[in-house]
Amino acid sequence: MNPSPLLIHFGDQAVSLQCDDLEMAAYLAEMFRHSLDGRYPPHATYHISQNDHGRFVLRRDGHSLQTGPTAVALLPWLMQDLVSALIEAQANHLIFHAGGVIVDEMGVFLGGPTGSGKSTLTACLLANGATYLSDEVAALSPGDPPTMTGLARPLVLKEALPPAWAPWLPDPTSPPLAAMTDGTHWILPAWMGAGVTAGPAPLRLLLFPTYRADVSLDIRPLTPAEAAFHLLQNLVNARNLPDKGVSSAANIARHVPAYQIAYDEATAVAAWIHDQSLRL
Amino acid sequence: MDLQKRPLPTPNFRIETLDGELLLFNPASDQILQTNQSGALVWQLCDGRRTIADITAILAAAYPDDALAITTDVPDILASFASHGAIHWQ
Repeated sequence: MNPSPLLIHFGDQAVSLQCDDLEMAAYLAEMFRHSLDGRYPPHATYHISQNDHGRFVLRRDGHSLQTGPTAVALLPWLMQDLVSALIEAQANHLIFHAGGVIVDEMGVFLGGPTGSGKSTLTACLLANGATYLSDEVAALSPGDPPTMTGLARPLVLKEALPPAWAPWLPDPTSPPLAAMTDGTHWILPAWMGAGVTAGPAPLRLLLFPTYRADVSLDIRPLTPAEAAFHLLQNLVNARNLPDKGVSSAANIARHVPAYQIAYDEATAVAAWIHDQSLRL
Repeated sequence: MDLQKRPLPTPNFRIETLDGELLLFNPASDQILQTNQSGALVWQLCDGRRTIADITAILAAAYPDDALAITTDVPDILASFASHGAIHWQ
């Protein structure tokens, strides 16, 4: 008997995910535990199964996307395609390349392109008591204050020697630290002792951090126009939104203080954010 | 830059004003331009009738302490507007 499909929800979209491998199905259920919601009809269906040659096949809507020797080998492709499927048709939220955490009841948006260090900084913040929303995709809704929801997938940390994130993990060598075939490591936030939620959380701080080796902490306040510009640089569903999301991004920027941060020590950023939470 | 050229805002730009600064969005090209308060002032003076020299003189008279910087800043700001398609020349 095959496990039931998971209905994974984010914003106003949902996809269905089924895996015939029981161990992997359990891992996927844990991985997306905070994003499961059966109220939304799925617009894409993923299925991981084993073919007659013993290889595992990832299919979307019946079409083969990738094959691999194990189910876990397919996870990077699954995650990439599934995240794209969840965000590509979003029309009621502004979807950003961004991490999101909650620090002392304060929603903190971490905007930036892939490779800017969002996930590593997010891991550091979780190790310092933050609640996890997402390390890659966050949805904002205008309001006063605006709100933030996140796709609470596992943290996806890039390989490095030594790994920048190693000090923040209970034991970097033990499961459930999953090493993927694309060189990333996936970590369930709960394993770090962090709280996890899909939100919504009140958005209180917009940050645009960039990791730079050998740069001391540099924090620059952004004007609302600069903040809106930075938001729009990281907006991924502009084509689905009225006026490409410009007025909504401007509204968010009017209500939330924003900063551009360059850092080489994530712990210094964590301490600064905690200080901001006391001020706000 | 020819200071007798007359900048005119490109029609159909979406403009958001935030604390005196501007966000200019061109729906035809999806280009976004963010200006500081100086850029916003220059933008507001672009009407297709005033020349670059006129705009510079108006701002220099309004901010005499910054007159020297204004003579270089205005052409630079207008060049940036033009490169983003936010203005064209009359």
